[in-house]
Amino acid sequence: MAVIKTEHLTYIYGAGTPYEKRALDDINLSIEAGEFVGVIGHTGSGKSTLIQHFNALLKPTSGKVYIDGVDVWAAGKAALQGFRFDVGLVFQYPEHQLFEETVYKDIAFGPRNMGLSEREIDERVREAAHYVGLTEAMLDHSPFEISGGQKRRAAIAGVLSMRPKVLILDEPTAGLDPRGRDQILRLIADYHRTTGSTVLIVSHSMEDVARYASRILIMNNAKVHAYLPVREAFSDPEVLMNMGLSVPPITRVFHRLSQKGLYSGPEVLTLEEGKAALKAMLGGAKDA
Amino acid sequence: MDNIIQTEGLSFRYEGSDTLALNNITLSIERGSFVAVLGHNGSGKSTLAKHFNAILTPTEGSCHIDGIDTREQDRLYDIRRRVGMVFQNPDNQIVATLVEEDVAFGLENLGVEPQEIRRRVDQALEVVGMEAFKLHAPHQLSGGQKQRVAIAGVLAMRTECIVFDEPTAMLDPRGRAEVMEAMKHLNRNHGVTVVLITHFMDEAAQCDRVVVMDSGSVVLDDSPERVFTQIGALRSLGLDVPQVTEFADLMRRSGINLPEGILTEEACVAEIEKLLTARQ
Repeated sequence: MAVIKTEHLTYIYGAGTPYEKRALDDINLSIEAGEFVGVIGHTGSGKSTLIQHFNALLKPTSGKVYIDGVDVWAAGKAALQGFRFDVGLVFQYPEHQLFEETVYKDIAFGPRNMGLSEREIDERVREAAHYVGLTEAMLDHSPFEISGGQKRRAAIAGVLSMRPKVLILDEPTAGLDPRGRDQILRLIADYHRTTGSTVLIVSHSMEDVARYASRILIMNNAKVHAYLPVREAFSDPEVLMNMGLSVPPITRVFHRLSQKGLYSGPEVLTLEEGKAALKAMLGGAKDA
Repeated sequence: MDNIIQTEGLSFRYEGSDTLALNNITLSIERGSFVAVLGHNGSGKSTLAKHFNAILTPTEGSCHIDGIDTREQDRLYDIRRRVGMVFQNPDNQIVATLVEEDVAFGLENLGVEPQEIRRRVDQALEVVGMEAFKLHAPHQLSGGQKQRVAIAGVLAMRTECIVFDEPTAMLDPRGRAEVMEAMKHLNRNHGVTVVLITHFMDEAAQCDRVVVMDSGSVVLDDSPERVFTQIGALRSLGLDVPQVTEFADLMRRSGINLPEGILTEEACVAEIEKLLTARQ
């Protein structure tokens, strides 16, 4: 069943002013529960505007958004906060929003707003800290005295502690070094696997999307260009390049080999797939 | 050798800290070169970069820019005229409401003649390929375009060396490619010395030289071909190698002889072709 669905979703910024801009144009989309979706698109393509509709932060100019089958903007004001607990949104550079005295209090902020008991809050804080790999000792630290990568993880834990059905992260690895990037992506993948929740990652890194996502949502000029399995999305690098996007380097290498008539298999998305493909090519050549 | 930047035994300690952020760094940047600086978050890269235009000055040792000691307070202007900086977030660097005014900002502050400003602004925008946008509002530009405007603003000052502190971290793939091209163009065709701090290994692979930092020290300093051969060392420093380099390494470890030093897709395709031909 679709956990998020939109019908003719259109959003216009600054309607009626000289700066009027159609940020989303007739979006019809259905995201099944449990998917791991990579959201890609050039700057200004509408990605961030779209995901802010998924947890009721923005109200469509026209069209509908459904969360778990419920029409978000027909459910009444009281229901809105519930949607924001169901769909957890981690913004870009989320560590800029840490504000409490301790990491513990920061992670507890969401569950406390949900009106949970102290015991339940405590359980959720520890669970979320565990998911992101923060030690018990770190929970008592000020969020301002831990490292950049740890801050980012603490901020993500602050959303996980609400146990959202859908977790959306807007460029969760921007500005991190390679080790920090790997840590964040692995923890998100583990979280997805362990909880079975739906995960959406907005990313400019095609390598990361290829490695972790099962489907890709491609936004282009306020419209959904395509929503399809990763392999199909990367099968035509030129189309993506023309949209200001890209495919992973290893995919481009095998794409070029196939243009030269040297490779004829399916798209290669990861190093492991590349290894298998090259071994097969060399083995085949030897037998011939 | 003609060095635009020269540090000797440079150490730096932030006030109130008991550890050295930079520890005894002796490094020279040759005029006209294109140098990448790598290192995990907190390794000292940005602290070092801030010494290159005297935002920070050494606690011990020295830093000379074109022969000028950065501790000579009254020569700050001469230093900053030689070395400019471009930062990560394009939105924090734009001050005016029109692209050309933004590029002219620094020159106006220096009291340069209006005609000369006009000439330099046009030239700088042309170099970064943004002349068609000179009357646009900066907020309507893409991230890559904004960064190119920021570069033009530095160029208009006739800066000989530009230090880029993660200029592509917030950009989409096209924006990253645009900024990378602009940096290469400045370096190759206009002789500008480029120091590029980055977390993207494929960008570092396109430079002439790669300096790797860890815990405030320089731990590797060599050509990209040599640095990226040391995959184990880079990993233990929290870094990485370009994806095609990692692929070649993976193949070598499973007995397929792709050579070391593959840094680009072109080289990777060419070497695979060679292997296939050899087997036939």
